[in-house]
Amino acid sequence: MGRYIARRLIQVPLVLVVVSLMTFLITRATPGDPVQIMLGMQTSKEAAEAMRKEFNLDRSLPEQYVLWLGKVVSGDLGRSIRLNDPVTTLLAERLPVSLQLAAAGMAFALLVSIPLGVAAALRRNSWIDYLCTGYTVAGFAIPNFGLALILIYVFSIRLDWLPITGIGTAEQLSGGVWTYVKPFIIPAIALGMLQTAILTRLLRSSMIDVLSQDYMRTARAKGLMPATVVVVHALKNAMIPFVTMAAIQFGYMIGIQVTIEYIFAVPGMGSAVLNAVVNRDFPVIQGFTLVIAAFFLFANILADLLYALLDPRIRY
Amino acid sequence: MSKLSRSSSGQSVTRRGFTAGMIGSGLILGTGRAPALAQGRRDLRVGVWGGEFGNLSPVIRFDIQGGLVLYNIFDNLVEIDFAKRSIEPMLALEWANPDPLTWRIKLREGVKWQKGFGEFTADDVVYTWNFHLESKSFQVGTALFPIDTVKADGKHVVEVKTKQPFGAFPGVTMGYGGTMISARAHKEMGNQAYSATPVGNGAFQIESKRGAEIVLAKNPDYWKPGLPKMDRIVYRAIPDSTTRLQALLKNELDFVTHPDPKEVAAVRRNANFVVNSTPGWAWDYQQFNLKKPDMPYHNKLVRQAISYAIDREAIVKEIYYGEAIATDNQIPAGYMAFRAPMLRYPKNGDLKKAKELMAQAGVRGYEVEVITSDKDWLRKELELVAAMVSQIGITYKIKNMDMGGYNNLWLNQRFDQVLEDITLVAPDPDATSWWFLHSRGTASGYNNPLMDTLLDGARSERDAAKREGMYHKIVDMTLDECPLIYHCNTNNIQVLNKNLKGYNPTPQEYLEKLDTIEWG
Repeated sequence: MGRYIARRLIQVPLVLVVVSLMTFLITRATPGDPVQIMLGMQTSKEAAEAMRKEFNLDRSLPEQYVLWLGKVVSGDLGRSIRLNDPVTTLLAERLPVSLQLAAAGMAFALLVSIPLGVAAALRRNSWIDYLCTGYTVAGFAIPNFGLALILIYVFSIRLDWLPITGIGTAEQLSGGVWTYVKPFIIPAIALGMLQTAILTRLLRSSMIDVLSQDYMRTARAKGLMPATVVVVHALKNAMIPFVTMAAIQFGYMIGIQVTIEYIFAVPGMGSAVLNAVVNRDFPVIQGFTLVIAAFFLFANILADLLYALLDPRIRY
Repeated sequence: MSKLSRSSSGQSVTRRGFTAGMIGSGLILGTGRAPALAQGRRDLRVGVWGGEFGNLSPVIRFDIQGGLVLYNIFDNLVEIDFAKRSIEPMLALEWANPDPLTWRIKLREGVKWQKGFGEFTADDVVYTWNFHLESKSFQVGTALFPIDTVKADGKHVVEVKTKQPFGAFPGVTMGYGGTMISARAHKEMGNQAYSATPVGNGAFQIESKRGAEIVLAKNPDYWKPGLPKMDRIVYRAIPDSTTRLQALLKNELDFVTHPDPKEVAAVRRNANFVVNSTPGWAWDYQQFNLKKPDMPYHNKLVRQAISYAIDREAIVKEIYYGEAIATDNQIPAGYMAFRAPMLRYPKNGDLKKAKELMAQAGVRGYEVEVITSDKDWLRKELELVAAMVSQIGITYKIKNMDMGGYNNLWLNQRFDQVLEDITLVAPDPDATSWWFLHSRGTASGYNNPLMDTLLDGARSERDAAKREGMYHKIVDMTLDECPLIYHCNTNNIQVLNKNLKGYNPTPQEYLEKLDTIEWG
């Protein structure tokens, strides 16, 4: 196990270098000059040249990449061309917001998918199972921004129960628990819907598989309580692929928040990357992509470790 | 630059149409709750567009949402009286032009920098303008280009020597280029820290700045007695216009900028809110790349035909839902030399005349690629305009690009034709004409020595009446040559809680001073 972890951890920087190189090349190949965007048409050549020099954009592409990578190794992700702030400062602002939103989305996904997946498996071909199937199909089919608008219409506008905006504001952070939680509810549901569908389907099929195993019949024959049979013997084993998938999906949710952030005015990483792309703010694109990729990689490693932890048959 | 693109960050991902369909105008009318109790409130929550606030220092280029905040932290040397169309004293009490190349500016005494950084003096003006010139900042090309030297003459007088006579000095250099920084604070904090949390001399000072939210607090040492009325302003950048408006209707905000014009008619019918829609200093326009002599539009008769084929009134109604004013020229209301449109081209177009001009030009029809940025309304406008010009045999191949890609093609003149919008910030016809029509300024490659002479002459002329006449000639020539075809001036719109009093809307998109606003 130790060697496996070490091997995976050694791979992380290599993968990140590949990701950063690809991001670097794609950003540089995309039409658009951040200096022109920042300074506009009516600036002088000298001003544009000074700015290019300031951000090393006057150097050759290999030089630019090596200089950037050298700084990254020492923890410096550069400075935003548009915002004039260090990328690490922006990350310190944005990452916690994105983590909170992803956590809220995942909490919603878990709260719904576990009972629904279990109930559908236990009552196959019943109305609960059909409900589960319908729900998961809807979860796969409805785009998160479409669902967000429906939720805003119902819960914010018509019922007036929940706010539309508010995540990351001073008012939210200085208020009580409910003030803190309520702006997250609609965005979390909209963000977590797809994951709910994925996890519900996975848990249902996993539970059905486990319920048909011989050891389940043995457990029932031993006279164990039905609840004990389901929770201790079936659910515990069925959760193995579920937990690993949840870990992967959590990493994935960090990277797919952009539409939700846009609609709900959430100051997270997705909207920062979007703005950076529009303004060709290379240091922000590169820095944020690197961190999002790192999250995804560590989520995958965590999933593998959890898999081994939960299933004693698996040895690395 | 003397213009700001009306899309800066994040707006490009637009589901406005979809959102508007989902949360339609009927809801806006039907669900706006009674505004929050106003009595005793001394805070204001403002929703502005954009994804985040960038730089707030006036010596580094800022975008519109940054400008909305910045101009409440800083006062200018002069301000515009939009009703009188005049430049009025603010931090500069008076100014004189004793000879063509000298401007002497007398500063107001007793103005203090926020947070204990001392008195505002001539040294701050000298420091600021020299910083611009030495750092070759964005304003050198637009507002500060005439300055040769600047020096303090005592504590409250500044003397500027210009390289050339510049008639628009009070409006352009002291107006658009007249936002000063504190020399002491800037030196102590450094340029980067100052741009994040600047020390100003305006009605409000920065309390906090985090991501998409900025909190301003009342400047206790503000020089205008009794102002500001509010103790605190919370600015929140909300990129989606429908979300922004809905947040206002749900009392999560008190004041929003840039609502979708499509939703304005419905919100006007909601008695709990007030809509300010002011004819703005912004254009929608078409521009031709005139460095391509083989293109049929290189013949000015073809460009005139296109201008005649445009039904500008239809653009105003269909794209801006009436929240714009059709125009055919570059000088909007409130500017020197303004004449009420339409000056040459009928607001509903003249298809017969357009076809005659095409025949006269000997052009039967052609295909041309027209680029625009990814702003939702411009894409729709371009589709509408394409349908209009198709009636005279011209096929527009539409290409939407994100702002970065668009700028890359536009600024490097790698386009045939563009349709875009622009917000003008320097309050003088020099700013609306020189950069767009002079051979040394334009992105269109338009090169007409007579136009250059007129533009340079109007820039140097100090007599206002003479300047006005010169700009009339420049406009007439523009209408004849059509290097740019103007469609309309879009309105500057805000929606406010009905209990708010004292707000003075202006045509300038970024200039929303909130020092006089209060709860009624």
